[in-house]
Amino acid sequence: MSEFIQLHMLVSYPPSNLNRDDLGKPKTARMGGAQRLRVSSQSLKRAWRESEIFQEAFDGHLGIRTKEMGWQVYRALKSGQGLADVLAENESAPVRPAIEEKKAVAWAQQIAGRFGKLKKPKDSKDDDEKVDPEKQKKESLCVEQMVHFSPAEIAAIDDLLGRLAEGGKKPEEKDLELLRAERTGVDIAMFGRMLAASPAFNCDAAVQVAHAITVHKVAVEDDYFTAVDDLNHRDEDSGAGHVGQAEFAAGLFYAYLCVNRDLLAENLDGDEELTDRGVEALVEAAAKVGPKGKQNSFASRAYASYILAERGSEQPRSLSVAFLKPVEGDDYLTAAVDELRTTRQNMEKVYGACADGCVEMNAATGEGSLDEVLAFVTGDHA
Amino acid sequence: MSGHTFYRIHLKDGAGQDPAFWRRVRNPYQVHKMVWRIFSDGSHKDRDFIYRLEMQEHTPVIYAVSTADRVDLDGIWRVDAKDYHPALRRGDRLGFNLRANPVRTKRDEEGRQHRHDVVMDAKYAMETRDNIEVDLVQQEGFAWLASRGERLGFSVEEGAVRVDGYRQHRFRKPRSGRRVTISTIDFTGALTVTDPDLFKEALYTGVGPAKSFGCGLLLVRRV
Repeated sequence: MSEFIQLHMLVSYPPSNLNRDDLGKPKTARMGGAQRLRVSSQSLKRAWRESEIFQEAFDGHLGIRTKEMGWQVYRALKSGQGLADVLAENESAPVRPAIEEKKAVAWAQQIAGRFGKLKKPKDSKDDDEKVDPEKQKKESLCVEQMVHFSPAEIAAIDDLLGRLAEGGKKPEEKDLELLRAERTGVDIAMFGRMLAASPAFNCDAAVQVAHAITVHKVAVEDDYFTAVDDLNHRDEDSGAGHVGQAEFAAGLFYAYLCVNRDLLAENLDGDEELTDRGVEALVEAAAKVGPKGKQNSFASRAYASYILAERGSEQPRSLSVAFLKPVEGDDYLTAAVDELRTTRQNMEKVYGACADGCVEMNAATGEGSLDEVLAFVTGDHA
Repeated sequence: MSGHTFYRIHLKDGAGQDPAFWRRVRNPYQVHKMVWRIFSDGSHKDRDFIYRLEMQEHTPVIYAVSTADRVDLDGIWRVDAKDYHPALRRGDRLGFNLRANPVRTKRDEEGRQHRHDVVMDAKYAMETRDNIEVDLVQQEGFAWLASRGERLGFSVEEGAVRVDGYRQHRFRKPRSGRRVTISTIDFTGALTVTDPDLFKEALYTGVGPAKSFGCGLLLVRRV
């Protein structure tokens, strides 16, 4: 049986629109017959992956998730800059000969096509809207699905770009074997990846993240009023950026995540040190970092108010049933902590111990500490 | 011309607890007067607002678009306001919500105009009282909206609009005692802007008749 690390957190967000659905409303879910606010797991994972905590902990071990690798490769070929500099938007001097337009497009398409199906550029039917050729070219270099590239793969692509630039000839079939199963990024090892085109290079996620939902019921305001800001502007790329101040409901969220430590270590080629560093950074990010949605308008930055961490080889379980009945009253946090503790105790009564041990941290009462939680989750294991 | 403003108007805290408030808003005519008192200082003038009343968690919320400065004679409202000057282009796709009074105008033998609710009209035409209203509302309502849209600068597709909430409201005008019947239908879905100028006019002045009774305000957002 694998060893699991489970994290149960209560995080309070002030009024915000953290995670929007495709109509621009905050995401919701019904639970226990009441509407709750919801933050999707994708949104949480993205926030953690992009956090400074991750960047600092895993310098050189983080991959990149993008549909636009082909576009970046094209830019690198066209300018002669290194791929890493192009990806990081660094102004840098060329490191190799620049490639002419036509070849750059064709080669970039060949390379991108290895990671996913290339998008078909839209042809214009509407005479009013002139198609921007630059935009169309970019479209033709993007793939349809997000692809998660590991650092080893990015290095392999860059290496190939160097050889192409020197040789001046189009990539051969063997040059295009760019996918790597080993030396995967920490983020890929944690959250997995799915490549429809090359399933052999898929990676099972070692970290499962539940959608965070409020422990209480929430009435989401209709956002036609909010939408006015969005209507008044016309910025091509800022669809999400212009939804302004809405009095979207605040919420106290229950968030749950579960790490299969053995699988994480396996995904990281058995690197124990990196595995512990991964667990530590993940827990710290989960405690301190939330989705960035509308950060500028809402500054909804929040640390977790309460954390319960568990370790053990028992089958993991979420404690969301604690909030099947929406929490009420004027002190959500205390009530929610009580519900969580009670549910855990009652579950142990009927099932026996569900973990080998646990620690708590409560920022409202000042009990416990994040350091203790981090020491616990990375401590010696059986 | 002065600019348009989009309003969201809530009752102030506590105002909803006052039974007198509810006695004053028992029918659409009273609601019409109530909203009028928000936008007018009482002197006679033309209506320069369109609005929609919704009940959210048992209290009224009014959305309105107007060129008028609000006055709020009663002092019971919390008013949020935003400049409303949508930047739209042909081909823009918008989510929308509309409560409208869909009628067809017909002339009788003496040349007088009569307005017929499109649903009742279809029912009479089919000489039936069977319970086929749900389909009828969708069909007739959609046809009505599509033909309006042509003139108002937008197009709708059958699959992308839900038409429901058919209701008839009956009341008497207090002074004349005249009986008034208004039916309303709710439309929800997506539309495509075909003529930005005409469409903006529709956003500012509403769609269809019975605007003084809370019909015709198009609520839109980008999708």
